Amino acid sequence: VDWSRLLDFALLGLGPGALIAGIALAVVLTYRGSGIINLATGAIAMVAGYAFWSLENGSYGVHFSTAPALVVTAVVVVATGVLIELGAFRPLRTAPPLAKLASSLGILLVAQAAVVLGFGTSARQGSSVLPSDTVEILGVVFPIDRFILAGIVVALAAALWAVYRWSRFGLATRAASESEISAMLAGLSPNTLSMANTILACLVAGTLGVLAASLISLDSTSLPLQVVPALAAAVLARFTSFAIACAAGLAIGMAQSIIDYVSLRPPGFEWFPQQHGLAVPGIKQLLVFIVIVVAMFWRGGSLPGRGEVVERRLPAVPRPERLLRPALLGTSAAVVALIVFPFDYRQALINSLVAALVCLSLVVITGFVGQISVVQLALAGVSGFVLSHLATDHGVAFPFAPLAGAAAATVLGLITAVSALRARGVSLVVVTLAAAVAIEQFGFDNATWGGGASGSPVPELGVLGADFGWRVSWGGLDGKEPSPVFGFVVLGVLVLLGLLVANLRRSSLGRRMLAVRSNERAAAAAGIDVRTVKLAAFGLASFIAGIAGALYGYNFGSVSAEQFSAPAALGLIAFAYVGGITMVSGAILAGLISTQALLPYVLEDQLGISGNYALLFGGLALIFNLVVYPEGIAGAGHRKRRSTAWR
Amino acid sequence: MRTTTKAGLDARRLVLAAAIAAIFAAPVATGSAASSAPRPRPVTDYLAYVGGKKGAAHGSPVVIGWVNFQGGPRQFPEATKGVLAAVDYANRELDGAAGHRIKLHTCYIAQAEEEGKTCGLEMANDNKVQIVVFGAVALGNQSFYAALRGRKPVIIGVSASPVDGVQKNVYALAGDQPHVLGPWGTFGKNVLHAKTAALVFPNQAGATSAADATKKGLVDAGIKVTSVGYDPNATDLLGPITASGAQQADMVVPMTDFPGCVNFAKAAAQIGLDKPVVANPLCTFIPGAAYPGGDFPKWYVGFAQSNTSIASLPDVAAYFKHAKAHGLSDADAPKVFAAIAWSEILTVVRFMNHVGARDITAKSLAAQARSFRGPMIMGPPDIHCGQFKDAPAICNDETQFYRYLGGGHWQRASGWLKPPM
Repeated sequence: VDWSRLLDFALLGLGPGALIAGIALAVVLTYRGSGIINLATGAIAMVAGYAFWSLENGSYGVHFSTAPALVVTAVVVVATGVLIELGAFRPLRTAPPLAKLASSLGILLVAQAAVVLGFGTSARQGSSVLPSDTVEILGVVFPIDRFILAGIVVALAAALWAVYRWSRFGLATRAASESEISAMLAGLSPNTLSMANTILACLVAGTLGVLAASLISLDSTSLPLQVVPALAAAVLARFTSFAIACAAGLAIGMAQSIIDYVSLRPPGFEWFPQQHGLAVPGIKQLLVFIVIVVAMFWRGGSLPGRGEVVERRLPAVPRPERLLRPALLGTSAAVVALIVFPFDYRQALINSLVAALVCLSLVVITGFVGQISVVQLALAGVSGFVLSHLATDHGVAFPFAPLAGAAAATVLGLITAVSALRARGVSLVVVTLAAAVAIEQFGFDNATWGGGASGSPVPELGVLGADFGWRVSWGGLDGKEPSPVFGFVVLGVLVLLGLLVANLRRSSLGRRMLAVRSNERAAAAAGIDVRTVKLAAFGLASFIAGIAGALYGYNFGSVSAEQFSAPAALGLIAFAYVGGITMVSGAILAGLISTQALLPYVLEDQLGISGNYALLFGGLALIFNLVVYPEGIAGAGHRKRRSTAWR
Repeated sequence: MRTTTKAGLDARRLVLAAAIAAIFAAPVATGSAASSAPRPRPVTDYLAYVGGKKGAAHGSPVVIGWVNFQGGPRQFPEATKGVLAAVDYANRELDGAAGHRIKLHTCYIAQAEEEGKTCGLEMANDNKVQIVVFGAVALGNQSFYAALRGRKPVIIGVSASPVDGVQKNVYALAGDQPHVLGPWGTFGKNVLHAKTAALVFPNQAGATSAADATKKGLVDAGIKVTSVGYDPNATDLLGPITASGAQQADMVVPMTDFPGCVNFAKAAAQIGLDKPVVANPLCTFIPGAAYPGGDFPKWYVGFAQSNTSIASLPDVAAYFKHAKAHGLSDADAPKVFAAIAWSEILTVVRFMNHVGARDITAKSLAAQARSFRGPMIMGPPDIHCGQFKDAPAICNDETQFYRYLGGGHWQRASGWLKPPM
């Protein structure tokens, strides 16, 4: 092993590591202040970068020199922080963690859409604030700005540590984090503290956004995406320690750089996996996932809890009293719609039904058991790819191919559940997010066992020569594809699994799930085997996701990595929450508002809202719905009906 | 309320494909470093090219399906602008298509694979549409083809997705990645006299297949390649560039996406990389102001079409003259996909004129595409769809190379080159 080369590459990773570390610091800051995992932290850095670029380049009619531009950018960043706190974080202060996570996703969407609409899709070249000299170390040329940036981030971490360790503000934040009630009795305002911490986090992210100009170009994706490795660093720091977040961020950047070198199979690393002479895609993501899982087990799992005035729980899980009537009414309406709708609306409805199935799996795992799993859509993808390869490459017929796909998803879901035995809440979000990214990039992107660049084809749904897919010649009233027959199949599966989930809520197992969701220790004390309940929930949810993945493949005639990506999974979870993540009806509502589903299609077709405006509208609508219906639309509807009945 | 998270975060992947698709637009068909056979002259007489009559069209409309990637965070709306200009030009001055006025049935894919099926169904279910033309379509291709099922021919200028090449009744007239990237090896060997090459690419689907094709071309030319795939979310490419041995290699190939082009240029400038860089045309899509120093780096770029940055080229001059007269702006005209779209529509008009007003069917138009031998407007001199058994939709594997001199000036670096044997 050439250790000097390893050292070289470790140093080359300082720049990206500093970027990850800086964003991780902002993530930790936000969590300490308000208990929110802010997925939009990278997007805030992006906004700052664009603000600085605009001011320096005279986009608003006035050219600013560097110093005034920095000052005005700081003002813009503070204003952004205030807006985020007042518009999204504060109204959700007593909402469940998942609602807060979804709101940060809404902020991310709005920020990205605003940047694209305001500045276009072309990258911008910000001027570097840092010096551009180089230095040669061990025969390799290094720009010194990487070292300076890393130094700034380390200094920031030290300063934040000192502030939170020694200042009155830091002590107050820590006190509010431990117990909001005690803090309030001591005359502290959790709202004010949350506001201050959000602004501070925005300033840290904004600083990175401006300084990063020496490393990257400005666009709508590069900086926002840095939040993924930054989350890994933050979870290693248990969302608490600035020092560990900083060190972990730097280490991730350095490790990724070392992998660049190791992937060439230098002496000592001949074992590094390659495909067609190139490094296997997704190795780095797999490494990040493994590091997180190992760290979870090593460090004991859960994050430190926060003591809030109001204990934040997931929305209530009403016991379904009457199943037959709503099932019959809903099914009848859907059947009529599938026949009567024109072909494009029919396709949108079928898309909605398939998406509702994935959301149904979220109802089981998140709504009933309280486990916030981001990996469900990836599990659906696993099923879709297994179906594709079995059916296309090996000629395995229906129903064996889709059942094998669902079984594979179930097995992988149970493996995920092992993580959930140690991690819960927001920790599980990070673990499953890392798992989703690893599955997507290591699994789905792979040309051999995934779909590669072209995706993987899925044959028409058929049994013993009879066609039940969307190409059946009967095309509904308009006589066009897709055939309603495939819609009936998906509808039938949705109704069956919907009834299964509704009955699960009424069963003994369902009650045990709710007990685990409510308080794991209390459930265990009451004789409930928490481990078994979690495994059962993950198994069932994964199976449902697997069935959805197979139908997804049949619906589109193919499966590809894009369809099951981690960002798409986050979006689906957000919509599942908005729909009502604790109810079957909520899953159906979520299906109706998901990608290429009925509601977005109507908006596009009737109002022309599509593309970037849909992105902006979707983000704002997400935040608005979360603020107005913190329990989801279905939950709010149920509560209203219940209160009406009481009167 | 569409789940557009995918858009923002995922756009990168989509762009990769589109990007790498783009890998193929530019210079003119004069001379060849690979073949001594006389090459056709570039197309400048559009009336002769389409084989129509002069004047406005008054016949009943004929509908052409138009699918493009636009509306999302990454998009190529210029392709649609190019098509609209071409349709206007054909309708007003070339007697439309066989005397029919041309209408478009448009469908756009903004950000989700699912939209491909919607577009496929729209085209399949519209009986007036007999032929479909793709702009820059890098997403939704698989779903689109599953819905269309080969019932109508699809014309593509430059394939933006590996899915296209293996489809039936699809005609990628200017080629696709695996075929058009091979000439990178020929160029490296014959022009740069390279013995070693450093290849840097984002390690994800789409980009890896492009890197694979490039590497094969380089290796086939006898060039030793060190390839490094970086994390697609990576921002600082200093490590990958160093790992690839770029500072010691005879040529450097960044086979990157949009952000990668600029990030590569930035890192290369910071370490003073002075080796010849041979990039893909995607990098030229980005305004020069986005690059360090405010100008496109002095790189070589390979194209499979005419370089629209050189207004003095005869075919580019003809395109600018007519396209701008029919509504294409000065800003959009030089954009690669606008030029490709212009060329595609006029080629479809040619097909329709050849089959005649009464025989415009999917079958007859497909036959025209199969028998088309080029040259295409601003495209490759020799076109032969079906020449590759493993990729029946691909009609070209030649590329030209240009060198950027700075200040908006380009210099031809090679004629049309085929992949090394």
